[in-house]
Amino acid sequence: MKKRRHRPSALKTYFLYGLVITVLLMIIITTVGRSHFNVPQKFGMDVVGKGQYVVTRMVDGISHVWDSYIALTHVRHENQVLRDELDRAINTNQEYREAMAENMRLHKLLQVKESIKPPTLTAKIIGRDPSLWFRTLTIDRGTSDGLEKGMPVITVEGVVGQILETSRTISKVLLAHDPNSAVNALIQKNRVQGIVKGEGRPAYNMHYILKNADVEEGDLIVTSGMGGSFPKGIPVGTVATVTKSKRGMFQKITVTPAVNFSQLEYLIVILQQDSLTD
Amino acid sequence: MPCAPFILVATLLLILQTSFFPGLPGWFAKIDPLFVLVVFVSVRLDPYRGALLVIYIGMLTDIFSGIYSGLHPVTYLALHFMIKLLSRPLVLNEPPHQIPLVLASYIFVMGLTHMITTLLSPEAISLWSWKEIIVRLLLLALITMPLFSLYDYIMNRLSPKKALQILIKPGNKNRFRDDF
Repeated sequence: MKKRRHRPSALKTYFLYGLVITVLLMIIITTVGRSHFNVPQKFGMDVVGKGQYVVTRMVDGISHVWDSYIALTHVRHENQVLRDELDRAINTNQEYREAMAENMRLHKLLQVKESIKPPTLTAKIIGRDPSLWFRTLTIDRGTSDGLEKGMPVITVEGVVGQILETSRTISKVLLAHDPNSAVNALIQKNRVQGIVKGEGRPAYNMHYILKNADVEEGDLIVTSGMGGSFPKGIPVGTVATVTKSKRGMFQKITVTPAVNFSQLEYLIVILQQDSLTD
Repeated sequence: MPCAPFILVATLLLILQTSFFPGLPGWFAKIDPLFVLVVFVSVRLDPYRGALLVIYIGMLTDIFSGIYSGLHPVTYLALHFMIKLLSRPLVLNEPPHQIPLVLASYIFVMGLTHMITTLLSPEAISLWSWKEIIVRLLLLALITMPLFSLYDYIMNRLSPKKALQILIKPGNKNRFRDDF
């Protein structure tokens, strides 16, 4: 039987690939489970983040044009002169409404920003986590704007999450409904404290509430200010269900988030120096 | 080397998947062409180049998805070598195998990811949702064959060797040569 022999150049190529893969594997193995990004990852985040920013702006522009087109389909059967006039009127009206809505949204943001003691920063969402298991998103602010890991992120409605990773211009936010997220919170009416944890789906579980505590559906849950991460009194959600099982000391409480995570657009980052996660 | 165009394609797909697709209505937001690319690379490229490329895709995905570094490269690399092992006894290159292969690969990667995240943070176990997974599998089944054709086209037409050939276009071509 004839034995196949590798030529020296082929062996050299295999050796080169083997070496590169081994080095990469070593890098991966040393980074598995690590919660800090290294320099290449931060660089990648900056580069791809720029791409995300451009695509987001383009999508905004296209969706604006598309919305205008949809609005125009209602007046297709009108005569040409009236349609032209109507086009202009609808466009103007839509722009006006959009401007009004944006104005109101920014006004609310400004009100919230002014009502919070530490300095705050407004950020725009430029990317969302496509995976099934994790709930994160990317915003257009980074360390150059003063952002640090662990800083709380909120919106007009309430708690959104915390900064998970930062690069120079981009940051990644861990949303509050991710299973790895936990927020110190209290029930507003009786000040009973617990921990609100994410469930993966748009809902929370509130843990460590004793069975003798008075909790009802519709009770408001706000941040407790404990732990130094979130300021006190920011809405987290409302109690959806309360279950008292025969076993155990605690009640099982599910909470409906105050924030609609699928409709987030602008966020407020609270620039706090001290963070528990560091 | 056919890796180069796919590095660009993977980066572009990640940008689209994190910024454009989430804005699409309903199920379309969950389309995952990057995963189809991972399977394509594992099927079509040789083990070494394929491994390099899936590691790159994994590392890139790690930055914008999930909270653990190294999770995606590990799962993609495991998938890559599993496909390479299976491709010896089975003819995975054939079109009829593409959809079942992508779907089985997706379930494998989902299972592995769930297992690793459970080990890394046992106090925060993600709920296994068959409903969500089936929706994503259906979408993958729809896009697999067109994307395989597209990636094949990219591999055949846009590899640096081919691109160079297109650019140079030798005038006096020997038609008896069959090295392309």
